[in-house]
Amino acid sequence: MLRNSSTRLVGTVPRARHFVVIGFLVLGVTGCANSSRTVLHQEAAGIRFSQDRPLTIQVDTDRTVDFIGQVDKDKLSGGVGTGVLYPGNTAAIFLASVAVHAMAAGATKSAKEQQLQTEANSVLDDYGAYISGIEEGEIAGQVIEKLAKNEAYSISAYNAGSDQITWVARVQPTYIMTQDQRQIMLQATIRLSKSEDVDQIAYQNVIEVLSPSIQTTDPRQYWLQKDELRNSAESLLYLSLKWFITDIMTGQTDTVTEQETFQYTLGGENIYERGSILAQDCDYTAARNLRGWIKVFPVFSVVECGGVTSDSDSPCEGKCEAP
Amino acid sequence: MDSTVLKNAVKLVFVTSCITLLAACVTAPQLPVALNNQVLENQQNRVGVMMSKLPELDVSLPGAACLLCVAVAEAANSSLSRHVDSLNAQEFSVVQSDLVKRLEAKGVNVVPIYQVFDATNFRRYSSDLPNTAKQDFSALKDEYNISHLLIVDVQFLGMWRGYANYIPTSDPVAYLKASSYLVNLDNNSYEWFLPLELKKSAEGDWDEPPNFPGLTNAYYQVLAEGREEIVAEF
Repeated sequence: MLRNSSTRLVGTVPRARHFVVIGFLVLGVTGCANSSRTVLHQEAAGIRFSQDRPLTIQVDTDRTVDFIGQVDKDKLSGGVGTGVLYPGNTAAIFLASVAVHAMAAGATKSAKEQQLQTEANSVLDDYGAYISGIEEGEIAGQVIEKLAKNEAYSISAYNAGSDQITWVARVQPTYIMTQDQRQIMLQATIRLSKSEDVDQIAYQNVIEVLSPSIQTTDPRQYWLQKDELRNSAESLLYLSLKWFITDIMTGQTDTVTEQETFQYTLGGENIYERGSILAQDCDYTAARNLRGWIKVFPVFSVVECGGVTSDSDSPCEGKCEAP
Repeated sequence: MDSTVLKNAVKLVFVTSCITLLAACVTAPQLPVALNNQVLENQQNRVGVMMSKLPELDVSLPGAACLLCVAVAEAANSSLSRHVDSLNAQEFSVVQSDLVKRLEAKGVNVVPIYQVFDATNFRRYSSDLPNTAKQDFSALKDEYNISHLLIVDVQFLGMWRGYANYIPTSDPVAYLKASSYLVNLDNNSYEWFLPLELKKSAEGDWDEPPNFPGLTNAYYQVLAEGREEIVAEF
């Protein structure tokens, strides 16, 4: 009797182990497949740029600027799946078939996401040659020069070989062109650390800056003539770094204002966003969204009133009233 | 005739009859009805504006078709459900005052009705005519001295995620389901009917427990877009 039980147990234990392994596999595939990769706002206390520890900015100098087309992610929401019959000879076979179904569903979703992005990128087909001539390092160099003029501490490009103790801001800019080709949006991911320990992140955030919508019948001509695409890319990067510095130096993080749903125009559609308004001027509104990202968008949706640049000869000069 | 064959035939007839009966009970959804602007232009008309009680926020998991599937789906989305319980829909409820203001600006005689609309409080109404309301609202005509009734009826607010049995077919999205309509209280016919079903994805990844900022933002987006779509009709 005892021997019989042991014999039964010898066969049951590996089967139970299989069962548990497959069970975890199913839970892993169905439950954890979407673990977040999105950057959330984080900030350590006591970050200040100064003459003793100035700011250096690091971009990828070896590559051209990264442009992608705007994707309508709502097209991914899909529908209800059709019922699937799983073979149920044993629990192990059943769980394995559920795991296979989960993997197949995940692969379909990824393929659809890629397909949507590829389709969205076709909006840039006419700009390919032009964009390949815009280098990230060159744009960043000019922005850094402009930023440095206005601050009491030095701002320079990061130099890995330098012995100077600095803050290092690693900036990854991605430009997104709307499908109507009338706006571009910069999504800049910024990670700040000390030069002596660049792997220890003291601050990270995403700063999005949106250009006003251009009013023209030929957007391609507008962007390519007189280097408007390049100039706008530079202006948006300037604004994003300006807001990054403001965020750090004014301690905007600690400012708790009431949340509200604000609105702006992107690609011809009204976009609503939840967050707190940080600042408003004649040209731009800046707000912090629920992820802590800073969103900077034009007060006026068209380029004739409120431009990417706020030069003194702006068409809005004298016309714009603070909201 | 063999008795087994006879029994099977009786069963088949019974099942077929049940299916036919159930299929006949399914009513076709009300199609949109364009707004009859003459109703608003006629100065004799008085329009009552009413809103349903907002439903409790929920996570809908359609497609999880068996009991075990439902349990697995509920468990996989439990942290999202907890978060949804912490949200509120106050921002949407101002649609009633938005409508009142918009109609008043157009010169319409408006009567805001703060009694909460509950379809079960009204008698069912059936008519052979198309585009008639399913409830008899005529009792409100004398009670509020109105000729027409404008109702915003919200059926679902929260999150939605499609399933195929145990497996999600999509990421969760914010979801609003509502219908808004203007009823002529003389004949219970629709002078306007707008079904509304809005789904909004999170920007970037959605799976950010415990606060789900991307999905929370999408939720406020559907509230704002829903309000805008209803009010824009006027």
